[in-house]
Amino acid sequence: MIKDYLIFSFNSLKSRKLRSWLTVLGILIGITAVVALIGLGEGLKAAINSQFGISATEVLTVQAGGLSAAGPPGTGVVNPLTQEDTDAIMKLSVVERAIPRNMETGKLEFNDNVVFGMSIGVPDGEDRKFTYDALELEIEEGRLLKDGDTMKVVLGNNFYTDNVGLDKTVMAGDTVLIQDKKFDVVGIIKKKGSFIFDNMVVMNEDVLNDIFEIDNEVDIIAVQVKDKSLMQKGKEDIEKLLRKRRNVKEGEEDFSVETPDSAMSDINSILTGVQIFIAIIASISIIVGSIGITNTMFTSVTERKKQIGIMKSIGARNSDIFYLFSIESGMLGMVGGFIGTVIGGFISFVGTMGINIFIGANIQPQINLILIFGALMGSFLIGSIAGTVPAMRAAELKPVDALRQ
Amino acid sequence: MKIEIVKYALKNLWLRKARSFLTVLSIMIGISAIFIFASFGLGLYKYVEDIASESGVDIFWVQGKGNSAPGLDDSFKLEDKDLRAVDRTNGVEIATGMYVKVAEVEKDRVKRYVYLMGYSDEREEIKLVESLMTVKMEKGRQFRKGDIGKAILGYNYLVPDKIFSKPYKMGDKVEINGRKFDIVGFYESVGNPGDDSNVYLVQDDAKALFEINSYGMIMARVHDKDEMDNVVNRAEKKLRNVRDLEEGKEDFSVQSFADALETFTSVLNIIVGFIFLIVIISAIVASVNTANTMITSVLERTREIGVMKSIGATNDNIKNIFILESAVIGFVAGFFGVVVGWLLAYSSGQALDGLGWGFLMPTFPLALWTGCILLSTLVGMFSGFVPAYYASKQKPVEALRYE
Repeated sequence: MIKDYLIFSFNSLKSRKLRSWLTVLGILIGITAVVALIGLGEGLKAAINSQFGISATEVLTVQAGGLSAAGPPGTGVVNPLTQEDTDAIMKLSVVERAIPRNMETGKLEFNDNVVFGMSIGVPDGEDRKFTYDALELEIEEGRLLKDGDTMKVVLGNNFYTDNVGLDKTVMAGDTVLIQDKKFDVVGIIKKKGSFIFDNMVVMNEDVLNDIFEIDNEVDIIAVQVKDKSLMQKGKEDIEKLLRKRRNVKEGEEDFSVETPDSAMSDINSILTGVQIFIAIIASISIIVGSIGITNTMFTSVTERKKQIGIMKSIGARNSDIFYLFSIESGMLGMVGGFIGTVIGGFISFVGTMGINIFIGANIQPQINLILIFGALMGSFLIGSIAGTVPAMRAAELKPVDALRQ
Repeated sequence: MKIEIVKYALKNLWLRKARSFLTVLSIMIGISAIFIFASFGLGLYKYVEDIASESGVDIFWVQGKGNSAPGLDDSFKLEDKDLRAVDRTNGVEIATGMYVKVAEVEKDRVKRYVYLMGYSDEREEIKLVESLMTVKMEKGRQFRKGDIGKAILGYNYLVPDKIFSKPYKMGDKVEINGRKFDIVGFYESVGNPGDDSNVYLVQDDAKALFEINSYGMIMARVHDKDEMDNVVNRAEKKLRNVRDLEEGKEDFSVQSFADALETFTSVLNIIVGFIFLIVIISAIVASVNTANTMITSVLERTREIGVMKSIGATNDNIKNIFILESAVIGFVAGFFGVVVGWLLAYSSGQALDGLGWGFLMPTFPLALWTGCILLSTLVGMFSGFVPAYYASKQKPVEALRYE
């Protein structure tokens, strides 16, 4: 029975090819736009997330309270964390290690050119290996820093490919001026696809503290707990400790202890907001396209009054007629949705590749099955809903009146 | 003849009310969307223009290089010697330095982190800072000489549930980084939540509170704004000299108000252009719908066309009838589209203002109204063109035979 409905609907669409195609075209354009924009948005989100290069999932980050939107960690802070805070956290029983990390804006001179960028410090000993692992720093050329390396740096990959504006590539063995002091470049880091890390200057912590005159302040404390299952307990213990050390009551904390997921949630919620806003604007065209379907279906019903009359007089029920027209309009929607999803998917694929080339990231184009499935079902639904009123009108026609037309 | 064509076209549209209505509706939605986004876009351009004309075209400022929000990064310090260098630059009328920090404001045990600006207590220098920040007094007074222990707050501190659930009022004390300051004034709303949350102290207080000696920003006003580029160049040279830097290796940047506006405008162009591109898609879909409607209309009336032709209607007559029909659809849709668009844009503008985003204000110049209606009419005509041409080329005999 359902097969009959489908065949009948399909044939009637085929017999009005031009009109059917134009109707499909309307909804197709809309779906293409929405699918392409959502896909591109996903790609962009992945690109931005990859810039922060935080991959170690078992690390808690401790920061003092401030305006987090003001810049890199530590910038907008009112009452900074200290070396002593780090030591105290280290003594907690759940904590495996606590690593103070500072980042500073600095000046690097090479080949008689100057660039400005971020420097980070790496601690000594066991913590060094942990930091390299957590940040996934691997070497492209030369070697990583080791304990006791003074006036030696490792540079991000962009220095190697000269994407930083020095007019010359920097290689291991070269000498650069950082904050007007001479440093030997001992290694270049493998490309990470993140403009923060690929433009970064890495030096030993004591050297960083020395040339940027950092006494006791700490931008961020990275804490590893003894076991992944202790994350929540670790967070609570650190909060309790710092409340006491900083003399604040519960609920009035001027610091934050964050898990890696929550650290990214702020920026992701903004990006999602933008994505939704754009999808809504693009959806206007789907609404317009669905009005096109309603219109076509009205015309179709008017034209086929006689046919409806005949069908009814040989025993078709109201519901049969209703289904016929509903399926017809649903098909219009779904064909548009299908082609639109394919084209939109293609556009977002090409676009994501474009983003990769543009910012030098390595994002896999997202094939979002939920999005595809949603677009297909959605377009069928939109088609059916758009056809509901015309189908109802067709179903309620009196056989005699319809035949008399 | 002309009037007959108009009458005939209108009658036909009326006969197919439902279809005409739906076609009008689809164009109308597209035009409303265009109208809404265009009005907000134009509003933003007007905002930029207002700022440019009201103040600032004769101002430039200096910042140290850095990766964070303006003024906060102190890797490259701006000190009194730099201020003196700017002040002594030929063509500079007055220069002043401003401290920029993030501060913790506490009220009823709730803490908020906001930007704090510390600036001079000299009349002329206050004027310079205020015109750069585009702020005016809403309540109370400006800083006076020797105003130690006093604070001026941004507009949002006056509004309940914006920053704190209970607003501040004149004469209250505000607790900043654990120290209490007397509130002597509030600035007017700037229209964005960031700037409206700022707190302001005089330089000496800010300096003592944060133990800093590096300005977040040095700003200056030039005598003659036409000389701006030259003065900026001279200031750069002076700063290079006092900081002992070669050209091309500056660890500071000098920017004039006009440069900043230009950058802002070009970013604005991209955003507005992108959104507009997406909105235009709905107009394209609407025109496909209209073409569809017109084709159906032509097919239905094939016989009628045959009759008209056999009693002497020319090809042009037939073409005009159908183009006119689709143009009327477009015009009606445009008319209602702008009305609906205006209602939505106006009310959402009011809502945004209430949320503290007052700079996102739509404007409705006459050209926007007429442009949208014209665009809509053209979309209608354009969509009707192929069907109309097709109709006009029908052979009378075949048209009459059509069933």
